[in-house]
Amino acid sequence: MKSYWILLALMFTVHAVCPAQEHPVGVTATNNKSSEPHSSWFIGTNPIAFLAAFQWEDNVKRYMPEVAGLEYGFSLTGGYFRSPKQMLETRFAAGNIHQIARVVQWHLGMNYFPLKKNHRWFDDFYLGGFFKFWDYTNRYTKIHFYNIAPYLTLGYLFDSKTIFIDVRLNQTVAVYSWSSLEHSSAGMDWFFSPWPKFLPVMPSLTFSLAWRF
Amino acid sequence: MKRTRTHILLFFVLAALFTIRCGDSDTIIQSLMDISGAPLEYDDSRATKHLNIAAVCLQCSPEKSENVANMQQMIHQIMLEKPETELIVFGETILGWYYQPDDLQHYQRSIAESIPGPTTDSIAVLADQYNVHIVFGLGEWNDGHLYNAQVLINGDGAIEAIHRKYHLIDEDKESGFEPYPQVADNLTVVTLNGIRTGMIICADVSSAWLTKQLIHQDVELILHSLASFEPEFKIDAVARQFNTWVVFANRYGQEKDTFYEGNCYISDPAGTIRVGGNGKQRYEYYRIGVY
Repeated sequence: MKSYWILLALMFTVHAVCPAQEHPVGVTATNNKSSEPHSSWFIGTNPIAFLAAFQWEDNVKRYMPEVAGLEYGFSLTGGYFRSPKQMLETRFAAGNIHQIARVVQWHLGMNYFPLKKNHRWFDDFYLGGFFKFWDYTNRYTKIHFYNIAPYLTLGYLFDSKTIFIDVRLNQTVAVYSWSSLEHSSAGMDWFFSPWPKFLPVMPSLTFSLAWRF
Repeated sequence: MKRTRTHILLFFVLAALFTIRCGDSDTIIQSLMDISGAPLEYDDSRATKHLNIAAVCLQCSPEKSENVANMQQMIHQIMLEKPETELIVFGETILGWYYQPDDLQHYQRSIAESIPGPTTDSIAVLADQYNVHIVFGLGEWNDGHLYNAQVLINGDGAIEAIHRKYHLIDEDKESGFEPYPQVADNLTVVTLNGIRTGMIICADVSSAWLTKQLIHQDVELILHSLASFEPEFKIDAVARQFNTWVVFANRYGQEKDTFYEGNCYISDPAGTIRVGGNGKQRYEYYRIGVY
């Protein structure tokens, strides 16, 4: 129960440090800083997630998901720049992990660009906070394992106005899980790594390609 | 602009159709997703079937006679400390080192035996004495073929089942082991205390075919004898692969250039490790409950 309140506090803290201070995109300021074309909405994909669902040579198959943000298969990301400093985003991915299991996942969160000002190269660094839900399904036993986890992001946007490439590190913090397996009940735990004895902190890397419109 | 949006949408639809059906070869490459999540509670307090199991993590010598003596001593120790034990599970090819790089094929051939053979006979005496089922792995000579085998001796001292490794890794092949054919008679399922029990050896767990066959057999417990140097898991991917209880019996110690950490445990169908750890030669005892 104590962990639950800590998780809630963490969620509110992430949102508290990212208030909407800038005027919305589309409103031209008198000092002309936001007069450049800057579309609000975007849609994109994680191209490595698409590749991660294929059957590759063993080591490629084993490690590729780490640079796909543990997303598999069909991947769709979309969102809205609420202001030049705030990027709301949702992500969806669905695909087979391997022959036995499938995962469907959905993420929702926000990235914040604290340094965004005068088109310097480092303006496009961001920090963020997300929640993700994933349903891990054993395709043969039909047993589902459901999970919700908050995670933090640290990334960079290679932005060319109509297209951008988003590179980010994702670090999960905790997880709440439950299952359709009979006689099982939910669990919650800190979650910095799926294999803490191997690596106590294990972020994943995500590449996204998106189009503004 | 409208045409571009249509093209983008078409791309995503085709990608969705194509991607979700990929990955058809037999080898399962386990992912970090398989071990992601919080450990769950699994309530077996009202289970109707039980089995008292000891999973052994044995330190193996290159000398077969020392390993057989060590096995016997471990059996005596378990039955002295936990006389209610009904099943003892040892690791893979524990009559010697799993991989002897200085003498690859000759070494494995020198410690392999027929089944039945001297080691199964000596272990059968203890199985009968204590009325306990004993499972262990060894190299088997069978009709001129060298197999990586796992034998189950029942409480009467009789050989009840033999499973031969089907899905070999490079170290198995370099050591001269041959894969057993992908045939139904190597699908090894026995019933212990009314619990349907499947037997697999190490990388057999990476076989999609074997996994599907065992799931279709409604197994409730998997006996997994292996030689693994991987550190401890928080969640057992094998238990989630089968949604059964899993006994993970391993080895410990330095074998030439490989150090086995001694990861050994018993996990429930939710993938939660009930007893386990690593770090030394020992056994892990648990009474499992199956509905």
